[in-house]
Amino acid sequence: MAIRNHVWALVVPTVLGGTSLLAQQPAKAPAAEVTPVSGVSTLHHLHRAIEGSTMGWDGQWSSPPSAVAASRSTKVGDDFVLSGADLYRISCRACHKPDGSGAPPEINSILGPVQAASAPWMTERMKAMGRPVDRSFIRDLTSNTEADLRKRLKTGGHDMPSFGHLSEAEIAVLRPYLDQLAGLPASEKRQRSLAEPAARVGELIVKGTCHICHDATAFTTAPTTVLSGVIPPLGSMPRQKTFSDFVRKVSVGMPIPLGTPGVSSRGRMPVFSYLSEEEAGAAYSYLSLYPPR
Amino acid sequence: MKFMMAVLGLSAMAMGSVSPAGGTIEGTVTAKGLASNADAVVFIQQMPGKGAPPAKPADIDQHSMHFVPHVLPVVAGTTVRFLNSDPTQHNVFSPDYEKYNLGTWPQGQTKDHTFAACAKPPCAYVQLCRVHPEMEGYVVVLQNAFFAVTGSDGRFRIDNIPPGSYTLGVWHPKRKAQPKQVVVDPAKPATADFVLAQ
Repeated sequence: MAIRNHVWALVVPTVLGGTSLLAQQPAKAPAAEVTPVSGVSTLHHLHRAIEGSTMGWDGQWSSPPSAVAASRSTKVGDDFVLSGADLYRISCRACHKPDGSGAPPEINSILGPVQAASAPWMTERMKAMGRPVDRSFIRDLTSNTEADLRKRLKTGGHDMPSFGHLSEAEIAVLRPYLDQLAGLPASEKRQRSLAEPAARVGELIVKGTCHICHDATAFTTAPTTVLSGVIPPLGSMPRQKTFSDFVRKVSVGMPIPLGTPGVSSRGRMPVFSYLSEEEAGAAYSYLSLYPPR
Repeated sequence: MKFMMAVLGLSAMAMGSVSPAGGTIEGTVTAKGLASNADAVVFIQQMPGKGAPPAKPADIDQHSMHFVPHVLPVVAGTTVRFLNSDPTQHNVFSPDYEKYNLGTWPQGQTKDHTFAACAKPPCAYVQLCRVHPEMEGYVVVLQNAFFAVTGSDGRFRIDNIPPGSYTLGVWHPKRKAQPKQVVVDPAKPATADFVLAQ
């Protein structure tokens, strides 16, 4: 317990100045059980090399830190306040990009399915095609699409990993943001937020972003193995990196020694400039307190 | 295209409605204002006796986010088998006529729909995927199996047609043209050209 408090002490001190309207009345999410990340990475599961995949690469595509301000979680006390945009950012964006368009053909756009789950959107679409249909047919189409969307989120797809770790409360916050991303009318008014403990935020980041490329556990990697293409496992992070090095590597990038003798290299890891330092710190603490297995 | 025409000829003979000494209609369809003359269905509107649907399903493949073929003419009563060849879930629905929503299914699996509800052919059913709004295809239900689909050059050919006088219709997803009267004589191919306009 003492160790846990020490680690959180590293994470918590930076409280952002001022709170947004969104942060003033956050819903307190029912405590979701925090569990360690486990198993092989998504890329490993798909037998895909990082160089041959677009998964997880929005870190590299994203704007430089100074230009990224649209979505940042705020903190109230020890909790992070997450909007739907924040949940999208830490769970979906690494693959689906900021606008949801993905990177076809490997990563599908989420916009079409989200639009097709909207009865007003589908009604207008049929009208525009000169094929108006009755409400019951629209309801049949859109309810099926909504069910498919939620099933995909829970169980994953051919390439997409399962996001079964998301709680119902988190999905209830994320889902309206997908509507906003898809440009559905009046969706801005339905945006919500929730307060989450740092451990949970770290878990969401690790499972939703880091685990795309990093296996949970493996033999400890050395500079030579990294040079030959091995991606360090998540379990090695707290042992091989300090808190501040980890945060820096994630959020702004940091050279690492590769090979023997070590040569300083930028490495292949994307820079996740859209994650705040507090969020990157929460990921480090989560990996420390809940060792991957 | 040649393959499709050959298949049509065989299926028409299998229906027992074709004389071995049947005639041919050939020609060209020009789609004004479009980059391609493909996807026009040219068909004999009415043939004595009702064409029986084939015993085997006709196939549409959902491949690389497209319905393949883009336009599929079938005889009324034909079952169309929709295959998903993409590594993502697909759906098929149509808001036309009896309306159907076949659900979603993964790569390698199929779903069938039988087009038995067309009271007055031709009946064009748009095929849509609710998961991927950019996908669009067509099933055109016809009274008989004497039809052809144009390629990008606009050419078509229908073989093994019993001698007689017919009305030749044309259907296209975006353009229209008036039907034409054609006399089929086994001694020489009949010619019919269409210019499609809005």
